[in-house]
Amino acid sequence: MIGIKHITSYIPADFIDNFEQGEKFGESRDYIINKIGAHRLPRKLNGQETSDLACCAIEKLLKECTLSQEKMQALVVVTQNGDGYGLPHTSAIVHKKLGLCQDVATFDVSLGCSGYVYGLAILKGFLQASGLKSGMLVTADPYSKIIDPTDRITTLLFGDAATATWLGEDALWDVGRPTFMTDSYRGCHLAVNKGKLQMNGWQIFNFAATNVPSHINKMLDAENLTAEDVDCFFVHQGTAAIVEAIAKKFPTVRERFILDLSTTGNTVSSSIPILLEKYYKEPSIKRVLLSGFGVGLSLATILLDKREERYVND
Amino acid sequence: MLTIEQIRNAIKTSEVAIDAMSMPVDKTFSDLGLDSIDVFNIIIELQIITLIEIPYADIKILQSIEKIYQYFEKKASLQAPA
Repeated sequence: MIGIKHITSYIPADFIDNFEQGEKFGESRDYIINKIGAHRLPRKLNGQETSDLACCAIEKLLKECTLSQEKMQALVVVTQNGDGYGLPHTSAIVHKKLGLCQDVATFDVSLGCSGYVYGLAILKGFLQASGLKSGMLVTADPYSKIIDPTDRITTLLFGDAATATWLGEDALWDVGRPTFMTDSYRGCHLAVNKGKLQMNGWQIFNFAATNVPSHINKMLDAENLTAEDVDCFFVHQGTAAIVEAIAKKFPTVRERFILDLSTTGNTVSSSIPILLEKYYKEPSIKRVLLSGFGVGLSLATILLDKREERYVND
Repeated sequence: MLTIEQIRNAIKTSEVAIDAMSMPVDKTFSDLGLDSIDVFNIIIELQIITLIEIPYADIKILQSIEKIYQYFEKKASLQAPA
């Protein structure tokens, strides 16, 4: 069974002070802390490409665990802001920069904040269908490439980051069966126009606050579980307000919805694996639910279960 | 038809930092110190109660208890049989 063996993140050292940025738009510290949730927004260096962020995350993972480059059989990059104009695909550029061997499969997945959940399902299925044993799922979607710094609605939200997740056999975490939703009629409310990101905050908030709780309940029902059976809920860290709006619909387990974006901001498809990296080795956490939502508009939810009896110390 | 009490309950459920039960019906949310995201949270709760999706363009109208009451009163009258 293919599952998650190890996760790492790469957060660029440079950052924007979001309190200073908020002041320019007349936003209070209270608003930045309690509604946006991001005190600082990491920024990649000028000239640093999406593939560079991906390489940093992968290299960190390779240093931390037993996986050698030679054993990596597939490389998937989740991004909508890849290198150059997207051709060749960013995963192929990462393949070259890392000097991977020629029989490694590489492809990109074009998704935003639901991309990690989709990516887990895609890579797990791809490895199983191809008879492969080991693959790398990378998220790297630096929105600083498409943010208009004069746009109050988007410039206070997004941080740059990348993550790498190693999927393979005899893993610590089993990847469950996902559920998906697409509301393409609202897709225009989070889109790039003339090279810059445009967002209708109400539409995204409404989509998430309305659909994510019911989607989570649908998944729990399908698995014959209740919210109390889940140790942690890692929902996409869009803003503090969105996470709170979702969490309050689960009053008995509200504190299990993790809110942690103060030093990263909304890192798009990286936000869920950044949380997972912090918590997935905690002994008390045995079942987690992931829910990513955003561009599309798209929503994907999945359960991960720890396989204690086959704990792999990597 | 939405009552003033139902609107106050929706505001309370939205968890905005205001005493929903004592706030004056004619004071705007902005005058009471609420921000745009607070208003989003109130609208979400109103949608849940009424099962009516509120268009983005209407949010700027729904800025006090009185305005919300009038908005849904008008919607109910438009839906009522002639």
